[in-house]
Amino acid sequence: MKLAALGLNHRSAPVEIRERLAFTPEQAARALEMLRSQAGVSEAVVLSTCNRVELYACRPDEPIHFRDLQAFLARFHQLPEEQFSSCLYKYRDAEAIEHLFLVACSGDSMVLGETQILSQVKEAYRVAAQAGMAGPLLGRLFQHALAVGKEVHTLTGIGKLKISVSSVAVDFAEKIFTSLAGRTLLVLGAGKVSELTLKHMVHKGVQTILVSNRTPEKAEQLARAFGGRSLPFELMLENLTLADIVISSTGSPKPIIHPQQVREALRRRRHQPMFLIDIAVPRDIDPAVNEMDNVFLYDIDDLEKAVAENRAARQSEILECRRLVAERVDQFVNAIRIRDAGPVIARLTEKVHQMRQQELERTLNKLGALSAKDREEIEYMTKRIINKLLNSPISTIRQEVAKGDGHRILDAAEKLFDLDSDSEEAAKDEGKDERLEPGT
Amino acid sequence: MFTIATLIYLAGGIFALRELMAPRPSRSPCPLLCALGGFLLHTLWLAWVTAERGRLPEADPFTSLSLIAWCAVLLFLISYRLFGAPPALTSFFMPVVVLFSLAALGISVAEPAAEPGSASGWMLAHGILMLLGCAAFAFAFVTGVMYLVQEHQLKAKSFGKLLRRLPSLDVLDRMNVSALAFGFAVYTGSLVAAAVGQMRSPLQWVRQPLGFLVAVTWVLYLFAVHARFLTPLRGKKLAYLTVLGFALILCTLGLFLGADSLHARGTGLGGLAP
Repeated sequence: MKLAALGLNHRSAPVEIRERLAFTPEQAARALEMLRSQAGVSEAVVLSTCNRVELYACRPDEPIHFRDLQAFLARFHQLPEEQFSSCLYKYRDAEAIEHLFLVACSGDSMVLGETQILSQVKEAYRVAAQAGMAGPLLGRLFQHALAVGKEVHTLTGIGKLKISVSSVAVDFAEKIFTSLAGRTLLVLGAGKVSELTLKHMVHKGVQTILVSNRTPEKAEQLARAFGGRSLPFELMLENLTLADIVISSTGSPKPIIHPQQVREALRRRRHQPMFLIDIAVPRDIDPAVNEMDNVFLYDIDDLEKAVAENRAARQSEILECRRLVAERVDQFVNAIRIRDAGPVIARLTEKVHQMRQQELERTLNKLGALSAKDREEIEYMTKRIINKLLNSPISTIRQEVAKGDGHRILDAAEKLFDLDSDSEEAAKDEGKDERLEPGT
Repeated sequence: MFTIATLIYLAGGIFALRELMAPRPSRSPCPLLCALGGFLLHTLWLAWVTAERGRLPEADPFTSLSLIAWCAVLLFLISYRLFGAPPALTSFFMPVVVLFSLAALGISVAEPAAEPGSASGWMLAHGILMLLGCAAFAFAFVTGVMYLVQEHQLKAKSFGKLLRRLPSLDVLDRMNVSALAFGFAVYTGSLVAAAVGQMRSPLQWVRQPLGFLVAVTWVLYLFAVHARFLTPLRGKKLAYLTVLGFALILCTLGLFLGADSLHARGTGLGGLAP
């Protein structure tokens, strides 16, 4: 395996550099073609998102130099190397695989646990596959990365807890009402956060939307956007009775909803629970309201505290995420090695038998006239000696590979028997056979 | 066999509590499988006892408690299907089942079984309905406690794993109300059957301590049902009422188990409950 990964991300490079080095899908396809024709790279994938630009590349014969990839980036984007070289991270083989797996499960993302990265990795793979650059190694690697990304999201809590104020508010609403389908939502004021919360709630099935604002046009606009209806601000309190959920974000300097109003609304709605979300600063709803039974009041600090706790919980999942990734990297590397073991054993056997044949012919020539039976007997004896000699190393290689720790012994075998020089042809043939189709 | 069933319930309870407290939800099927396995074994044991004796089990405290545990698991399994299987329900419910089962085992060691007697159809109905009523109130108690815990989490804004793992207040309230309504209906039916079966007016048995406690319990549950369906009382207050009601049920059971009254004389299943 001769894999190299080079890139930069939101931590290593400022946005001014990232935007200069970013690839559109069309540029990525062109870059892959250039890598093949100019840099002699047999497989490559360009992963370019708003927070990272990464190049994964490999070739079967010799390792790829990072300086070549760096020079290629500079050439492609017409940006002097010295402007971004200090921002680059560089990984080889297992480290490169680990990095990609971590990226795919969003363990390296700015927002831990986000799921968009999976589709971005998938898109990068698709572009490379279309360009014929996702071969036996990178094709397999990216398919594994996508599977690992999904697995980590399923098995850990890295993406489960919400980390925006609006989605946290929806979570709390669901802890009170189970389902928001059929519920009535009253929006007071028309701020950005309340609009986002409203959007989330509509997505969850809120049935009736009432919007009230001191500026009727704004109320009308928001109501129309979400299929609700606007109400005069003066009638806001009367409509409190109808609302299961209230989102308030007016610019009022003093509270506009007081305990007695909520008590009256509760009485009229026969004490059905109410969820009040006060996003305004200064607050719109008197905090004493939270003391009442069946009323749940959350202000912006409460929601942000929940967001902070969820972020911390996601952060705490990163260790578990890394553990899973490390496991999958080992499995992948071993799988690649197992795939490589067959050719190594074949090359070893072939090389030793070639030597045997050469020495046999030389000896038989020196011996002169021998009967056909004698020649056959001598040849059979040399074969037996070679087979006996090879038996132990081959079975040891197979055992070690089967145990999942075969790469060391394969490397050792290649070095001991000088098999590297013979591997070029085999790798080329294998590359032809095992090219994977995209999306499989 | 009942001891093994109890041990399986116990294992289920431990699994469920471990899952509730675990750093990340495992969604292990072990707690539910234990509840199911214990219930099947428990049912087999009841069938075997009935078949061996050729009649329903006697009115002894051991059988009463074990039957309440059996009915409770039955209701739990039904509710598990009806209410979308909230996993935390197992964590809260299994300990109650284990307590009933362990109490039954403790009593079986301490006291000999009562002599068999003959039971009328009314008394048989009284016993069966009473056991079901107790199990339903146990269920209402568990969901009431879960409601109070979840309500406290939401009010106090404790954004921990308990908040995430407990069902919503709406689900807990529906479970609580269903158990309460069902429990009250069968409990009332049981008392009517007892009154008819013994040909005595309620005023007569209300004068006995056990009868008085049963009557107080019934009135409390009547108030709870009335409050939930006909007045705005709901949520936390109703949950407190179900907890208080179950405390009365436990007192009634305690008095029943300690009393050498009509029940303890053993009149078949019909006479085994308070």
